[in-house]
Amino acid sequence: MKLRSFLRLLSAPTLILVLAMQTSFAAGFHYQLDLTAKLVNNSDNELTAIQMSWIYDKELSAILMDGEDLSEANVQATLKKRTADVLKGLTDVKYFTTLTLDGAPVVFDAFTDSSLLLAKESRLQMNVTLPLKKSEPVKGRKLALIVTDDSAIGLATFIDTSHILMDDYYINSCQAPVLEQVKLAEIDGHAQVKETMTIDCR
Amino acid sequence: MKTSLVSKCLIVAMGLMMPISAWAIGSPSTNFFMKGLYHPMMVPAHLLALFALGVLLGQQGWRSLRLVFPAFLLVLGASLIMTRYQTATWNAELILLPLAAITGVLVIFKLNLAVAVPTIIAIIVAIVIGMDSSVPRIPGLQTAKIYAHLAGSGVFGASLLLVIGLIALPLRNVLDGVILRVLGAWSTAGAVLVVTLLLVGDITP
Amino acid sequence: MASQIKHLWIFLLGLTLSTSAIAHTGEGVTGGLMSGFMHPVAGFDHVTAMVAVGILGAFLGRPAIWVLPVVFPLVMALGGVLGLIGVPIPFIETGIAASSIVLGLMILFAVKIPLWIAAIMVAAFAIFHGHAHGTELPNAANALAYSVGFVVSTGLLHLAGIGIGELTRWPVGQIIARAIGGLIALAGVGFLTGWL
Repeated sequence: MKLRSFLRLLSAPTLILVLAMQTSFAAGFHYQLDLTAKLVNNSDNELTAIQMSWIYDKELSAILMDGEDLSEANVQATLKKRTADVLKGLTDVKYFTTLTLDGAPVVFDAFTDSSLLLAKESRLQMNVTLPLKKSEPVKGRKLALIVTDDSAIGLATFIDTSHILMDDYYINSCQAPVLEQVKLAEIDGHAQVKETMTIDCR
Repeated sequence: MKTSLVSKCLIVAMGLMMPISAWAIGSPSTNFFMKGLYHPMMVPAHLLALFALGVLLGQQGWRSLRLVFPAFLLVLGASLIMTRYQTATWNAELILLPLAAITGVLVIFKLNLAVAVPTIIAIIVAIVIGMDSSVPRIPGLQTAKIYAHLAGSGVFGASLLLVIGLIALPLRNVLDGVILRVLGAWSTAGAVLVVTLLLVGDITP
Repeated sequence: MASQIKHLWIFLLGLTLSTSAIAHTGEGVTGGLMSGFMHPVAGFDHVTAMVAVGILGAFLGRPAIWVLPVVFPLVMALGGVLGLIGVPIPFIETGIAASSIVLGLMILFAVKIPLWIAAIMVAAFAIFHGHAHGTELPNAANALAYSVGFVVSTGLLHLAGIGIGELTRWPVGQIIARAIGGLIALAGVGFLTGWL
């Protein structure tokens, strides 16, 4: 094969590779979702739902809204349009959340009351309410809200105990919430972290 | 002469500036094609398998390269799309690394292989790499971005194989093919060491 | 058209250089890759032996020119496996130092030995080198990236040795190659005695 044609043949894929190298040496993609959760009780002080507010990090917010019309006139319509997709994504991963009472998992019903907002610094905020399939008394029991992304690409985090919101019943009847963070595994260079917010009402 | 020297310097300077201008191609954090392009670089098992396969194809000659590469490309594309519907349950490293080791041994012995042999290796590599290149699970990610990421991964994998194959092609008979044979030997050595580590040690690659 | 292609390659060279300039290393995959790449290079005792194997192969001519640089990594992998599974091999550092001395002296004195003896000798030394690499692998941040890094690095060292060995086609090249052999042998003495 002549040198010229060889070089020509080699040029295109080499150019692609070298261009790709410009953005190389970056760590793999990783995102963070900050969770604030509110425990919702009925008049009998039985837990009926968890109201969740997920705040997406700036990079993920930019990715999810990339190419969308976020002008002042159209931002609300855009957010409404994207709510279904973003929420479906969260639903598919079961909201990264498991609720247990005395160690036994509690089943949620389909979500209600969802909304997608643009919070400070153009960060997306997804609000969603997860009703329990049946209301559960919490008196004399230990409640744990566990958040983890089993793909380890996302970090779902409470950040601190101030991100669990409770009414007076919990404040008066239960111990102060305790937040524990445990590294479960390392997957493809990402740390899989499990956070457990425990409220002991025993 | 002076003009030619100036233009060469300009070209080098443009090349050096390229990283900065590259960020302008839709901010890098939202450009999922670019993310897909560099995703394989995060997976050394993919690189080693592609490297060994590329060296083998180059060593086998132009006929092998031009027949096997399109098959690889097709299967890789199909496997990448399959990640949307199916998750691979196998351990990709434990397939790719032994395959890289075997491919390295084939390179060492510089056999005149029937085209079926590198084709089969290429197809297995394409399936495993493709199925191991699923897009990071991001709730709410647009479908277009998912496919852009997959396309980027496919382009990089195919380009890497092609470049290595084309570079290996003219080297196959230089000094009894020593360069390729050494590279094959080292691919085998590296793969054997890490497979041992995976089987014996408590590590994740 | 030829000049356009030449310009393209110069452009690509610039891109490649800039890549290394802006790359950040030290974490995750790239950290493992770079530490693996640097390991054989930073370990001078490994460098001298790798280069010596390449030179010796070139000295002995075909097929030693490819047999020796191929035997070395394959048996080295075996040594690495032994290191990983915890099989002890005594006098590892002595064996590594001896590899530089023996191979260096063979190059210095242009000793022509049969291929099978050279291969056995290289294989024996490779066990020591492999065992040393194998014991370090589990400590690497990213084992596979580390392995890929040192595969590339050691392959390049062998090829550098072969390149030096090929200089023997010219009379002055003979002197250069043999002098390098002498330096390698001397370095081996330094490793053995602790000077280096």
